[in-house]
Amino acid sequence: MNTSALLIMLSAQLSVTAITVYFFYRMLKPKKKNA
Amino acid sequence: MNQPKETWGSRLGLVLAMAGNAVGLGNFLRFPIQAVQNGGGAFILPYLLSFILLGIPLLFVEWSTGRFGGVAGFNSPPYILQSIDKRKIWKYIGAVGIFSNIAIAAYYCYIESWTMSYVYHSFIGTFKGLSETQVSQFFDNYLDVRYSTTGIPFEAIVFYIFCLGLNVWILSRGLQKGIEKVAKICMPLLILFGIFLMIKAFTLKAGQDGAVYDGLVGFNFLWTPQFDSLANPKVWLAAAGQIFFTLSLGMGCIQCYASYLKKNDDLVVNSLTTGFTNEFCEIVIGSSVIIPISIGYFGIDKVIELASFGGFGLGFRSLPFLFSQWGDVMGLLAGVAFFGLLFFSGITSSLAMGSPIVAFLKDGFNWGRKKSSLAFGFIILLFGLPTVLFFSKGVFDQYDYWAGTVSLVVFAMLEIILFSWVLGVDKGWKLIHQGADMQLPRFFKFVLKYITPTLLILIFLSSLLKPKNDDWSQVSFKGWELDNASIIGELLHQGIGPNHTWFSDAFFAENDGKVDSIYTSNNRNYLRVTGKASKSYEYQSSHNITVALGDDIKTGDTLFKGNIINDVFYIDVSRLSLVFLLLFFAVMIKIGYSNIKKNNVNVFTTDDKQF
Repeated sequence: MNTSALLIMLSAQLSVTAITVYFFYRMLKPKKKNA
Repeated sequence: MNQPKETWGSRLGLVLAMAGNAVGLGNFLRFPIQAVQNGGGAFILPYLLSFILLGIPLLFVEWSTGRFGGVAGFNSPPYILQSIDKRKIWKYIGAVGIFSNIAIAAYYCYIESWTMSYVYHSFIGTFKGLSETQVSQFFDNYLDVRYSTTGIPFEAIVFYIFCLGLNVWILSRGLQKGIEKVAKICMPLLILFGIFLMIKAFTLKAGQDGAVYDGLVGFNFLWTPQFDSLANPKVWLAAAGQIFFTLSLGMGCIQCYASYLKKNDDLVVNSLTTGFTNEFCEIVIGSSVIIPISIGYFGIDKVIELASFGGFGLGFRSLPFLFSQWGDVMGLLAGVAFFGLLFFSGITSSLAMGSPIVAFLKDGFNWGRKKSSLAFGFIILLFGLPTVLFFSKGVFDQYDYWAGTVSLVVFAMLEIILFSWVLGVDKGWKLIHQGADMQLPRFFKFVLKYITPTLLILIFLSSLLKPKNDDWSQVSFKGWELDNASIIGELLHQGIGPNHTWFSDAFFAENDGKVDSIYTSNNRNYLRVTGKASKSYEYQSSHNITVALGDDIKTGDTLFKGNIINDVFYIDVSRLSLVFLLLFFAVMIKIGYSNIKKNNVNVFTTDDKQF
């Protein structure tokens, strides 16, 4: 695979995956209850 | 409105249902083709910009207006919009949010039934031992409803009715026991199947299982950037269009689902999770299946040619043949995984399309879920059967164009004006942040007010006035030739050719060439004229052919005579039926509104307490 294709593919796919996992984590994290 | 209020069972269930609404066949069949045709790896730039400036803002608009309407007691787009602004027009604009879902579901459920059928055929090994041509012919046979591939008469209709029945049953079970439960099963399975197919695509090696090229050749082709394509407005419009359709914006389903939220339920993190889940399915999985696998077997040139006919061709005509090269077990698993993935993405979307009408019948007429779900099934069957029976006559394309493209853009344009300019972006911003688990950057407030509405107006105008062959260099103040697929071109039947009357006693050639074949296929008669392009014309046995093999033909020459119903008849009747459907819902909305006001006169006064 040529370098530019590999770079674009990896950066797009890895960043979308990371952001998705991050938002799922935030969504599933229990909310802090106010005292 | 005296039925118990439905709510989502869990936050995860809500997000998976919303993600299921967004993730559809387009993630796997449309996106990769769009990328390949619009700059390869460079396409990701306008695509991600469109996601930030168009996709995410519209998600916030639809989630927040939906939740607002739900708190006010309404779950259907017409009354959700009416609850935001008391001008009467808004409930009629909301009619588009019911109309487009019904019209789209009518043909979408048909495609969903294809995927269901192909899961079945992959499982029983129908494609084992078939050649590439035979697999392609299988698809044509399947679409010909008179033909049966399994001995079931009218097989395509049987699968369609079964698929529709499944949708009706799930909808009737309600939000938690129906829609949410299905989402919690289908979405994880969809991702699992997708990862399996991705691994197969990455590990495809030339010389193994009949592959001519490595799978990486396909990845390389799809992701290699053609930066000069970024100078073409067509690419930017394609990116904006893809974002729009992939997130299921402008339909009314998101508002409907969001209306089951409570007033202080977060929507910022929820909507972003949904949006990014869709992008994961599209950019990570969608880009990694049909293009790399197809190129592994056919090579780049042939896949470019096949892709020009759309993703359905590759998905249904080619992939079953390619999977069968992987042996009995792996071929079965791949076929079931691919068409199963398409089926799961389809059914989670069609359930979302059924929800607005179910909610509307509850809002306006106090119908229960079971009755409303049956009504949905009945209306879909009524409007969907013509797409099944007259598929080749253009009915499907008309529904897809007017309901699945034009009305979505119009609705989204109007809802962002309602949110940002009528309600006002300050109130809208507060609405978005009620109960929010995170604060958005203020940049989005500017985007909501100025950028997103401008982009939508540009998209609408570009569809209205699209230049011929999407060649934007033609556009000038002196005017330009419109493309046949522009909105104006479509309305005027531009490019319809010589067979432009509903009925005729003669049928005329639509291309230049030579009559090189008169043949019968699946009990249908065809006459083929081949010149620069080849075109086959179907005729009935009662028609009299007026040409012979070898004759030179010019466009407009008579090919056969008799009682002829031209495609333009089916096209115009489809359009009239869509107009009737929209007007029907407008009348129903008016009656429903009167019912609601009888029960509670003040229900539509604007409630500033929500801000």
